[in-house]
Amino acid sequence: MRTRTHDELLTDLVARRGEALVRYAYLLTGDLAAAQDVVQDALVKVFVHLRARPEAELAEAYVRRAIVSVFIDGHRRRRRFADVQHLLAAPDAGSAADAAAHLDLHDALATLGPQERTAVVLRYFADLTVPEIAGVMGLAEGSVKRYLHNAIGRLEKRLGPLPTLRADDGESLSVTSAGRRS
Amino acid sequence: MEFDLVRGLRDLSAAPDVPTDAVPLGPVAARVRRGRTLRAAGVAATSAAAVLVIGAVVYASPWQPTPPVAGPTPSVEPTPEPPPEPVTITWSYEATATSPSALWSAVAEEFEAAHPHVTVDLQALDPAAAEADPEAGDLPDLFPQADPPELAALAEAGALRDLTDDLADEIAAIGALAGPSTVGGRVYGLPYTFGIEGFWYNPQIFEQVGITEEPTTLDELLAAVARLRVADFAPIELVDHPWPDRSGWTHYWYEFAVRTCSPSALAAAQDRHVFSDPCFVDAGRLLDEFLTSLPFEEGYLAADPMQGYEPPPAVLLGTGQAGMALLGPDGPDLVAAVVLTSDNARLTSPESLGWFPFPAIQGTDGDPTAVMGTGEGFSVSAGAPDEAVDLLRYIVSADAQRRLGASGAGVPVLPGAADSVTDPYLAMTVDTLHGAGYVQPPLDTAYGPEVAAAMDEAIIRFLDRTTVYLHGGPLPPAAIVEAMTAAAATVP
Repeated sequence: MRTRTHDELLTDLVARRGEALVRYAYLLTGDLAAAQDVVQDALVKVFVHLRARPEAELAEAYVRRAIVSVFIDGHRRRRRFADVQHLLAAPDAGSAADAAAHLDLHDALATLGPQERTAVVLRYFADLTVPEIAGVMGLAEGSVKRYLHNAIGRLEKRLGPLPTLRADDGESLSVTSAGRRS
Repeated sequence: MEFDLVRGLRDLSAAPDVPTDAVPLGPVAARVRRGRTLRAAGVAATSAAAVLVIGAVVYASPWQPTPPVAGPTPSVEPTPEPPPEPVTITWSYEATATSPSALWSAVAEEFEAAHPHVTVDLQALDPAAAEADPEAGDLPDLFPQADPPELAALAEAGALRDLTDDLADEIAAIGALAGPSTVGGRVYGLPYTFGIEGFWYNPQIFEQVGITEEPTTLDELLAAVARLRVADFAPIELVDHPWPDRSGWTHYWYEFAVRTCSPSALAAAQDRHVFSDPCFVDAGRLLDEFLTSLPFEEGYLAADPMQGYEPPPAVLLGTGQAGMALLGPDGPDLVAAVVLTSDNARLTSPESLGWFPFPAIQGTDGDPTAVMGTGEGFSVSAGAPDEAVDLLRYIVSADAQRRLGASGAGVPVLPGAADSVTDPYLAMTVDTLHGAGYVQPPLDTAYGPEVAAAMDEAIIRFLDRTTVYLHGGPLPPAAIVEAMTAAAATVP
């Protein structure tokens, strides 16, 4: 009853940004069905707690943050019977016809732990700074740097050198490396 | 060969074929609506990460039910039209995945056919179909019944029609199930279905360890726990279960309170936030004793809600490692999901499940037939035409109740419709539901968000013996009641 105005915001957000949110979550989960579940849970989480009615952009920002927390929480899906059947019948695969690069990155990301993977997505897809990532993930900045450093190391093993990172992250990563050596 | 990670991530996110309905609005909106009512703004119910993330923004001001019509007055005319005049009844219902939409459509049409001057404007409460704005005081004539605190607020604001006399026969027929619809002895809504929680168990394991009867008392439950423990099963899986909300820990205290306290003590707690009856402390003591039997899976303390670690619900029950789990009516769905996805599933099929209600606790004031559960129902707004009451009477008629039971959408509240329930799992719970002498909504729902937040946090700190609250040690049983009383004092 009282949630009608929130309902409108939710409707609008889902209609306009639902797909984008799922694609964002997909980078974290690597699995489309799981991404859809994460987005649903994140929407529920945010809108259950929402008190004032924020601007649409702000609401989306909340949901993006909640997507991260839902994913990191290791929130397992509560699939109902029908959902599970559907998954068994049509196992998610993203896209068989995709370019090899997608699959390489998909597989390489799968070797990362959830924290590492999240840090990478926030840094290089969502374009957040290390302090911002620390805020979203609830970690110290040093921990974020360590996760990024470890993640880059693992990805490079699979993918080869990642030159685009040196420009914007050489400093933070090398600081961490130096710290680890000492 | 170098790899462009930024571009790679962008391409990867664009790669999957995301269906247009990737985020189904109806179910999400329904969960939100339910969550806003059920979920106290509680730390206990929210993972640490979520608190950090959402808490920074909105948790600082816990959500409070805005009394939508607590203002001066709803802007509706209280005068019903004379019958010959055409009448339109607005009827809204929550369009969830399981709501009996087809039944409601048929009921509306049949009512129109039987009352030619009436038009029923049936509105699925899907936000996409937004019509009236209840926040402006524009309530539909017939609409989903609110949970106890909000129902009381609406009733006290004069927004609801008193159904006590008009629907006296219907109310009498469902007995205790009308309890959650009652404010100060008057009835302001009628449920059409009710789901209760209880123990879903694995009959094969029970048989294997020599449990021949479903436990009906706490002593019998303790005996069953001991047999399972000796045979190396996790006796009870402590599920952080999703029905009606993440409540795997707190519901044990809730259930102990419902089994320990007299119905009048429970009613005083729900209606007036009076927690002074010693039964509430006794409930904690009894739960404390229960815990010494090691009823839960080893490592359950590691399943720390404060740290956001959640095992899949019912995974131990579904894989034949646990004897039972305390779950709502969706327990079989959770087990089915585990069975279908697990490589280690020893339950041959979800059909191999049994159910028994939470056992009675002897030597207390508790009503052994009390149940805890959540109903769905409708209220009539104060300004609705009389025909809206007639429509509600038809909604809960024996005929409509039987069709509800046959649809599998839920257990009908009317005892006479019990045999219409076709769902084999729901059918197991029917007799307990209809035999209930007292019906208690989950305590967080019943007491409102402020008390629930304090209560749930205190329960977690009471239950957790090792990992989270090292500083002060676990709370004593009385501290839960103290926290609830203190929180209640802050509620206007």
